[in-house]
Amino acid sequence: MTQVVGNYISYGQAARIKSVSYQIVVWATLLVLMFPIIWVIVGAFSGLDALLSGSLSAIFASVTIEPVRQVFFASNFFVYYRNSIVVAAGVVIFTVTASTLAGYGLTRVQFRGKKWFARLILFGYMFPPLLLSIPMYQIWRQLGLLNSHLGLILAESSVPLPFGIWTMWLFFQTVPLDYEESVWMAGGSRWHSFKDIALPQAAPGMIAVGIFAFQSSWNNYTYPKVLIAEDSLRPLTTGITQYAVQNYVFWNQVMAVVFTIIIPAFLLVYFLQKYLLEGYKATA
Amino acid sequence: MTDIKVDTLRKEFSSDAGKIVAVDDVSFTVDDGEFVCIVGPSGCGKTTLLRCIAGLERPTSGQIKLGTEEVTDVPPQNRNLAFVFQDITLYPHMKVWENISYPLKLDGIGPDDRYEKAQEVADTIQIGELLDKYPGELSGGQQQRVAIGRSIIRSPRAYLLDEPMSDLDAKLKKEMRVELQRIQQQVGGTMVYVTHDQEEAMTLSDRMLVMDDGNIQQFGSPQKVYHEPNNLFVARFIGSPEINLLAASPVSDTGETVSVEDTDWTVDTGIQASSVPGRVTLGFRPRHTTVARTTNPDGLGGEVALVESVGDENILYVDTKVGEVRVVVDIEEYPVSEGDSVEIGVERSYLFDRDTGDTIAKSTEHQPDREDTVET
Repeated sequence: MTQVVGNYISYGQAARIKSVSYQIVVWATLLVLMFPIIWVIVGAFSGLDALLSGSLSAIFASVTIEPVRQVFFASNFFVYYRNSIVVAAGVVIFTVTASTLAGYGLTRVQFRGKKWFARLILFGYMFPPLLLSIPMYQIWRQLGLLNSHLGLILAESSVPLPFGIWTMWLFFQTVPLDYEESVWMAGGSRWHSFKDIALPQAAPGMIAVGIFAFQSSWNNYTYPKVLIAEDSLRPLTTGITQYAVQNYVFWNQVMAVVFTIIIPAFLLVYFLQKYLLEGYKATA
Repeated sequence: MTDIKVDTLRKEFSSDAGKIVAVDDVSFTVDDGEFVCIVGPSGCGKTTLLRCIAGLERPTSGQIKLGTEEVTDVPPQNRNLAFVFQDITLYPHMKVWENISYPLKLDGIGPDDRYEKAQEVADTIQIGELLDKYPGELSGGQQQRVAIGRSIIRSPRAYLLDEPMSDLDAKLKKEMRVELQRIQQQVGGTMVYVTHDQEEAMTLSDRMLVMDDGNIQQFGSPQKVYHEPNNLFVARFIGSPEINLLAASPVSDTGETVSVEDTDWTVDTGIQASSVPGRVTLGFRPRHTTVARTTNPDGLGGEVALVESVGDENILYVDTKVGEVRVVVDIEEYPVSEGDSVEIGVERSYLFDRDTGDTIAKSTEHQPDREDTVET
């Protein structure tokens, strides 16, 4: 028999230790990340006084659906929700269309100053929305786009668009040119090669850009705050401030609204996460 | 089907380093129904030339004619040529039948008719049972067949193939070669096939066009190119193992005997040329030799450094005073092993002008009884 030298742990033990410590780290991280969301859910179903007292026993004793009921039936909630969906859909459609066309153009069409154009796009990414919103307000006023969903869609698209163009640019670069050339040889036009070949292969990128555009619009506070004054046109992000009256905030109602805001974003990301990852892989 | 006429075709690319001439005033004609391979080392302009014929590159100057129609400025969509690309270019999101019949879809033909036509084509290329699979589920050879299927479905005027087999393994390559020739006979098309593999070119083509540095070095049948190379480049590029080249000077005016430089060796070439320059290169193919074992070689010869066995034959790498000489011999007729001293007899040879690289003359066969096969 050969002698085993020194202290050692077997492969099996090492694997078990690895797996257990990995699980501890994952669950700890998840708990920290999820805590605010858990608190939102708890808050959405508790009485206001109990919630403000901060005592857990009082909170659990006061469980009620009253805040949710109040929000749903005694406020503009559904109007805000509809506005948010309309604007987010508009931003997604506009951003995906524009960045797909721009990305394809940057990849396939040779034109002067192309490099500069590509750099300039990323440059646009560096301005904070607050800085852009002031000139935007003035321009939108001239164009009569204040207090309109169209104006808000255009403004909010400025946030995900640079990232979108960049992503689609990189995605189309992964479609080899000879795939499109083979379409041309078969008698198809550039439109055919774009539509039949390049687009389907870049679909994961489009979905990633779409999700990014959605969450960007869904969470945008600055632009609706600056550009929308009319209460019936407000999306959820600015509408939610209506649950604070002079010097007093109905925290449990705010929590109820926040809870409903989270759901669509969560569902979207949950079902399309595969594509989201692919999108980030392409840009990495 | 049609012939292809290329007349003083020139293609320049501009780069940071200046102007690059990829194709340098090239003229040739591919006859109707002919299989022509364009062969040359990478960067010689062969793919650019093919892409010009296809219409995917715009030539800087010159003319391309398909039959009687001039197509130099016609976009690729309107040339009705088929092109098979190096990386096969099957559309991953379409099933095999959709891939094959995609050209018909562009013509606005409905899915039922397309499926039927795809079935027909798939049967001729023996992939009839794969129609409902995706390209990702196929092997390399099957993908290759699908790509060929897509190119024949529309009965194009000619087929252009750009190194379509460079990604296949050696065995599959041989199979596909036979297959491609069968398909060509069946559809009877004019084919222009680009490859860097001289073996592929030798076995496939009716005529081969050897290119280097944007110029045609030789255009002729494989036999002609192998046995009567125009110049040093063609002699070196075609044939494997590579031809032996030794610096030499003529002893007689006709070049019948030459002496190998830096040695006292002379070689009988049997060449009767009208005039031979003072600086020549003696060339002889490894297959056109004999070897004899000797203890003390006083002629062309040396020590066998390496023996490579390829079936019935041995390739001997002989270390001589003037460098390595490659010799192919029958394994039974000449049992030689590493470390032996051998003397090499030259049966057939060429003389090249060392300054211009042009062929001056080739020897007539010394031993007509030895069958000369174009082995590669």
